[in-house]
Amino acid sequence: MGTVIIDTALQQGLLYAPAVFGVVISFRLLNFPDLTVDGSFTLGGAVSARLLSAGHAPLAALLWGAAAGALAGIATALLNRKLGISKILSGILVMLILYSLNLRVMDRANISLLGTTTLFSSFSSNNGLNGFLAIVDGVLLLLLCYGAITRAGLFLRATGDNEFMVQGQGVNTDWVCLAGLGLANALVALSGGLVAQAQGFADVSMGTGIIITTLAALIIGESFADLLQAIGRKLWGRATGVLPWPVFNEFFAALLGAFLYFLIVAICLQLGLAQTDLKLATGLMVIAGIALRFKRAASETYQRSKL
Amino acid sequence: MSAAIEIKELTVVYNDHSPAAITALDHVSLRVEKGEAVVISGGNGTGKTTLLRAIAGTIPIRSGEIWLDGVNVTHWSARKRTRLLGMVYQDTMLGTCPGLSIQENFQLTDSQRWWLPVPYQLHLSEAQIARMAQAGLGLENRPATLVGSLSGGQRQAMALCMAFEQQKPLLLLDEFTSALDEHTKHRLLQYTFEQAGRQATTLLIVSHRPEELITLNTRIVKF
Repeated sequence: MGTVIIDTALQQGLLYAPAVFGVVISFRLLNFPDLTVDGSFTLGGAVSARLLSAGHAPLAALLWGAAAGALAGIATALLNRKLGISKILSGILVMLILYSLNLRVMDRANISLLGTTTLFSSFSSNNGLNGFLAIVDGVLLLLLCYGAITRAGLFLRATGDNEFMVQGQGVNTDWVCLAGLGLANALVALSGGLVAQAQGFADVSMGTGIIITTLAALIIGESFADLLQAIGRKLWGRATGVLPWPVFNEFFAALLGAFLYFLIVAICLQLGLAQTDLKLATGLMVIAGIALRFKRAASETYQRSKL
Repeated sequence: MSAAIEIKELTVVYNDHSPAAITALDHVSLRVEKGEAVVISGGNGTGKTTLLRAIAGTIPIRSGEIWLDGVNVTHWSARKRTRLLGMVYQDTMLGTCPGLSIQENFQLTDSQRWWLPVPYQLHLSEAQIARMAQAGLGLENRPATLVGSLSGGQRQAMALCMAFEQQKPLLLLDEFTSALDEHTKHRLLQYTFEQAGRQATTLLIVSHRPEELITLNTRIVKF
């Protein structure tokens, strides 16, 4: 039983990890609380499923889904930058619009991919599928870490950190925001496409609550990565040097958190949690995660103030 | 020869066309020659910072013209004006990125082709280290330190070093030594004028205490 739970959690984690990478880019690096995610995740699945059922190649369907997601992210950025709509509202508006668009894309509320060749049709075992997904996520992780040390990545991080300063260097931060949200939502849509192809159907409500799921995964991953770092520091000392280790850590935390989140969910379900209470449990997880960080930060400040 | 800055009959009104309108600058004219260092002094609320902001293009003006380096920039956006000028702020939080390291902050000063997906310089260049060493803050020895963990004064000094890295023809310095202790202030003023002399930078400085700058070959304009 234990192996089944771990196996399922691993697969789910690997499928959803690209979406968590996307949330790291928008929420953590660009400092943009982007709620487009719920819509762009479904969009990725919808485009992917529609193209597959029309007989297109699985990989092409997946990549077109990601491209559609990028457009959704760019739309959110444009609403915020060019029309002066707040960050949160821009995301919510695009998410809402995407609900209708996704129905248009699919032409119905769900598309079954039974009997259609998907990326995963050729894998006879779960291990093969997980191996393939691990390679995809691993490559994404490496690419994103490389991205963090490129000039484009540096200016994206700087824009999230102090946009005013970056503007002072003559950089058009609207473009940075457009590119950042485009990339973030492309990753989210890629994840949506993977999920649709793996589970064999796309549904118009498959993205509902993805933002909270991915945030929960990220927060769990960050807490665990912090713990690993603390142990690492004890054993090998502090990571030094000029590389942006905190950013690498975020991406690593995203991958780790995606797996841990689904592991926790699987265990909860095993212990008798009703499937319908899952969103309640996830919401509570996010609240607990953020509250714990807040309290810990407050107590550290208090401890310092006593010195 | 064209002046570095020429301001003609500049009027700036905050909350223009509303009952709460406040005239901050009323038909102000000023000419600053290339390579000159001009200190603008005056009490609080006399429009010193407003003048710098108007030159940088970050606030709207009601009337008048602003010429930089012989070019009428009155209708240029703030971003376009950054080709010609750099600015260091009184607020220590504005000029640097707290979440990035000292070294990464310095890389931001080279903003040409920022979108290239090629790695940035992971180390400070010899020349950059030498220039930072002249400022005398010791920041060059710890490039991986997060700027957010530096003091306000250190951040202000860093913003100044970064402004000189860009080698702009004009620097606007708004109370740029406000967060510094006497010793550091003295050293940083020396550094400023040394660098400005070397790069032939025109300086427009806002200061409450112009007497500190008198000895440094400056022209003082009272507001």
